[in-house]
Amino acid sequence: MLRWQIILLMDLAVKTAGLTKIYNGADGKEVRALDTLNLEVPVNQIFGFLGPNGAGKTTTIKLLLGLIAPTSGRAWILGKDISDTSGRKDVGFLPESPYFYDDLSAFEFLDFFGGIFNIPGRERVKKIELLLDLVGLTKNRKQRLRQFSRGMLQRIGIAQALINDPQLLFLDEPITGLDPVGQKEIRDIILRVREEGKTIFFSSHDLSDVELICDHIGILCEGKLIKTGSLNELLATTETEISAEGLSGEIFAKLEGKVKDFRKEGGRTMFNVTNEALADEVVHIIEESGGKHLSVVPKQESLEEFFLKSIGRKELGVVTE
Amino acid sequence: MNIWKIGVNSFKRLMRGKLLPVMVVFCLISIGYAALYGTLTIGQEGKLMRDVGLAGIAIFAVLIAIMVGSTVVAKEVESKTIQILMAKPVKKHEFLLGELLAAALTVLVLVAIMGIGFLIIVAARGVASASLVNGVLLTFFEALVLASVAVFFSTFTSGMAASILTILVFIFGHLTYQLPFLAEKAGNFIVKFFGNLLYFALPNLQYFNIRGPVAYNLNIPGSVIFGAIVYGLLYATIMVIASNLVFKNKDFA
Repeated sequence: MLRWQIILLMDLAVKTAGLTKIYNGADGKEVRALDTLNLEVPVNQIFGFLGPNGAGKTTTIKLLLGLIAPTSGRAWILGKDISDTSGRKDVGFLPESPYFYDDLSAFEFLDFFGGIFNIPGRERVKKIELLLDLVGLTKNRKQRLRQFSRGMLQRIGIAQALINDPQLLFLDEPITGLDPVGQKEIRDIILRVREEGKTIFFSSHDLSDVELICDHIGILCEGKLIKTGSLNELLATTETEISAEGLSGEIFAKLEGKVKDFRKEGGRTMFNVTNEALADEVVHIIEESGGKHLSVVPKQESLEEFFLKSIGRKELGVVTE
Repeated sequence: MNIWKIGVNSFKRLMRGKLLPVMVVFCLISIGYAALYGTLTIGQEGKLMRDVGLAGIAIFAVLIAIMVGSTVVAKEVESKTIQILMAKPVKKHEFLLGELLAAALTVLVLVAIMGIGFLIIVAARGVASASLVNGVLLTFFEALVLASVAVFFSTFTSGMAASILTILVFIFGHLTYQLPFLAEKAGNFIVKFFGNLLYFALPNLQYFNIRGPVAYNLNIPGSVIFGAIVYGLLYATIMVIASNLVFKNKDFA
């Protein structure tokens, strides 16, 4: 690889080029779990990787971590090819439905993985205590993992993913299956980790969580990436809502064709216009004709609306920054 | 270093299991039974105690080796704990060697406990001999070979299937020395070819069986012991290489 290519990759936490995974199905037919994925995830972001069940999110994460081999294509994490195991020194991973060594205590579990990263003894103990505190399991340090609840397992899983102070953290459905308290705890931990400047690759099909914490998103459907970009950019303002009063029949006639979705709420009349320039024109017409506009509010599409629209259309044109 | 860390971690978890200590207790009971049985046999006490006691250790060591060898890798794959480990800077061969090390350490510790218990009992009865130590030592190497075979099978089958296949290898491994002779007698080219193929592919576990000379307190040349140990280490190494060839292309989906 050329030097300039390496420098370009260093600004990206994840890059894939034509990454594809094909499995042989039970009926002998090929199953394209991931199809020609071209993805770039900038550093210092929370990247939400969205898609319905079976879209290929977990397959992508497993490919990036070298747990499964790609059928074709290449990928890099933190500038290193995924086939290079040394690239995982700065990576943390929490799998979906975490399965841990349930016969180890919380401390022993973290100590083992700290050892794998060659963290020296004293420093390791200090780090483990800090992480147990971060995930709220200090009191449970000697307890075996088989006695842990689902939420506690998820938290110790995040602690093991952070043991090496990684620059890039893969969290595969970290919130799925948790009760609301557990969900909030995990969300808070993720936000605290983000404050430390780490890149988080967060896979989920829970849109409200992604909308709350992610900066960038990618939407995967049936193994294909259908959208990617910053959340603000993708959820662009689509309509503007205008509220007014004192509108005469003459004004209504002037507004015809320019506005839509007329409705009455109390003494006010409300309607939508499709762009900001048109909103200015409509306000001008109302004021000029003796009416009074009360508010002009740009309406942003929700992630849920955007997501459903995206997977419904299955567009292949990728929106990038 | 990863090999050692993975090995020690798995060894620690194996030793926390309940089945292994139970098996050791049963083995020690069987050795005690051999000691009692020996007292009923006038003039043959020492021979019987050494023979039955050593056979008891061998059976339990082989059972432990097969049980541990067939599950140590398979359990990590089937329970998906391997996904977290292999997402770290760990190479596949380090994982395999670490797990085999755990199996070897487990077998070593348990054979040592059973062997020391056995030696104490025979010494108390005044029928101990130096060759008993060699008998226990070769029992360990036979168990090591079987553990490596079990690990190899578990790289491409389930833990249960690996256990069954390794038991078959154990049975045929004690008959394999007869294969070239039987193949020669058969006269058929195909039978001869497969007879010789099996003879080279299967471990010759009779190399580790010195119970007869030990029971009769006969002198066993050092070269026999050394040769069996080298054979055991070589066979285990070949199994590790074969396991790695299978494992390096394995997906942890």
